[in-house]
Amino acid sequence: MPRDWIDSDTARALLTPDDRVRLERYVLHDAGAGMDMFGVSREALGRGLAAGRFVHRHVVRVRSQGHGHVPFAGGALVAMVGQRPNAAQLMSLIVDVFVGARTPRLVRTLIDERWTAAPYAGSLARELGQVPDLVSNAEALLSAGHVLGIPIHDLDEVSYDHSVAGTISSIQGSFTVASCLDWARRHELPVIPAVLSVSSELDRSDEPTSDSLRARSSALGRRALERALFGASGGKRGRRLEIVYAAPIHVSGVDDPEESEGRVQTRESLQRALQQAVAKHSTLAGCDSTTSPFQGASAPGESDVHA
Amino acid sequence: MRDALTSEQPWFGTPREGRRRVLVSGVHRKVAGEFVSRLVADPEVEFVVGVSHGTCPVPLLDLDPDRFLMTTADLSRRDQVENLFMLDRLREENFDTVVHLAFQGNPKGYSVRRHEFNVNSTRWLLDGCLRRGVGKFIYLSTDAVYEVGPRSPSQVREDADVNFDPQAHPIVRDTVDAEFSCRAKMDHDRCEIVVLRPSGVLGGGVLSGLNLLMEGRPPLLPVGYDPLINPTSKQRLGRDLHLAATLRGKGLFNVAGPVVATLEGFMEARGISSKRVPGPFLAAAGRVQRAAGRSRYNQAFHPGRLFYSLVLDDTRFDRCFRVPASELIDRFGIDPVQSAIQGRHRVPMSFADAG
Repeated sequence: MPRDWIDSDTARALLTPDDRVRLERYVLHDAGAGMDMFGVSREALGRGLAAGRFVHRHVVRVRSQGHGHVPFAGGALVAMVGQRPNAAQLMSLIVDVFVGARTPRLVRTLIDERWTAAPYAGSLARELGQVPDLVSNAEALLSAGHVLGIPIHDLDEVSYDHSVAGTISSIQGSFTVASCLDWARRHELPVIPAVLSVSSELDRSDEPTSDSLRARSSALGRRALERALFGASGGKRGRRLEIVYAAPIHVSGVDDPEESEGRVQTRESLQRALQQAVAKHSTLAGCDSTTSPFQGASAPGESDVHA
Repeated sequence: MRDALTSEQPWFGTPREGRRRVLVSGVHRKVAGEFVSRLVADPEVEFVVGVSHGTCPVPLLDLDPDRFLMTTADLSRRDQVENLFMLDRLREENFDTVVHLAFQGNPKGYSVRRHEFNVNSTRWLLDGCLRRGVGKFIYLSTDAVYEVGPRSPSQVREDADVNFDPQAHPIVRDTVDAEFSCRAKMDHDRCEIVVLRPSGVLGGGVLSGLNLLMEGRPPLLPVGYDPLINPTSKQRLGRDLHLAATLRGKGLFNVAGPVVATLEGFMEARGISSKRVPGPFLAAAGRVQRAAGRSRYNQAFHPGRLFYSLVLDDTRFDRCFRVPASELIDRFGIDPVQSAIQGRHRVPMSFADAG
């Protein structure tokens, strides 16, 4: 059974004390049987967090900042820009928000049919709050005050740079700036740009320290994993995912005549604001130039860095 | 609480005038037993006429004969349907409510005759209601009309995709046909037509897909899937039918239970242990189980049901019937449907009692 892929007690034992506290603090709108209307239960979250934490920390090696921009209550749109996350990166982003934000929030996303149709995977995804890729599902999530994560694919004419996508494919649908604006306007939600980029460090840890067969195969394995996660290396080593949650972009209401108080109203102005966020934040700590389409000003120092 | 729907239709949820004279078809169904008992106990109901093929069901034998009358008719024959509106009891005034629960759903031996019964009974009854000025016609449909798959909405509203697949089970197609006969007449100015789509109904002896599955020995489920469901119970459905018959309102409504949980979760809560079968072999295993007399559940009826979630969103029914009913009690101290109000909110029933 999907629920038994890892025992609840084992999962909790794998979590850090801080994560266990966060799990308990998560506000679950119980629909009568310990799970919410979308099938998320605290037990399933514990199991997902146990697995996701490992991927977040040791596989994708996320470094992030700006969690303070994620609202502690109410709905929000997390617009994933800069790079379209693959399955592992998406999982890491969800874990990152859950463990990094002031109040644990679960980012819901709309995932592909091939994922929801698969045995075990579909149930697992549902238990972790991910729903089939349908506009009605997005509407239902936003109406219920959840945080919805959507990759934006038309931020720039050239779209995402697929050469850095890795061989692990993306599992979720992507959306346009226009639909992001529409949802934000109709549900009166802030748009939080989540700027994703890949950085590399002069990390020689995957270089074999000896000529032994074991050391060489271990280095090969790490390189293959990195290639799957981040695409062709181009000679770079020690790559990791950088996530910056930029300041929320507020959208003018339907009845507001024009843009006011820093609010955006049109698709172009939202696109510009998102592009500025990417330009501002994608240069964090040695980011690959290939993954920074709007490379420009350096990122401001923010206090809540999670690595 | 008035929202967009009820402010557009301000009369939604207000009590109907006069005393009820109700015709209920298909009284052999378990939910009909619950519903008729409630009607007979309601002082606002003048009398109830039950229609069935055979004799009076045992649970209804003890009802007051002045308030409950049992009659037999073949609803697939138009003349017999017409005769129902000409009973002696109706000499002064005709029915003001017709609740159509009759449906021949046995997938075994499905034939053209059954198809004609399922579709034509609805048409003849509805036609009779419209011609004789009956104030309300309620048709009990099923959630099997919804298309279920990996791209289904997490919460299925009334406007979700209906299963128009020509390969769908004939019973599902009959239900869709009958439902569309009702929907075609929904704009009628005097008769309020209500179509209710209940989620799976649980309860002893109920012939719903979910209930038959749970009564299997053992229930067979596919490996790797555990769909979310929010089944209702026959008691709750009887209460909802009572509300729909008592308060004004028309249209298509989902009716669901208050608890959302996985199918296996519901089984565990009832102490039922299931067996897992690889998905591609589920239909064959089910056939063997039925042939051996160990189950009456037919997976072909609603193939995706055991694989993908089907959670009905019945907020619309809440807004139109349950909430206004509770408001009537709060504001005026009147109880339009007696204990029907107990079911107005989603939470009060415990998980184990949800079925």
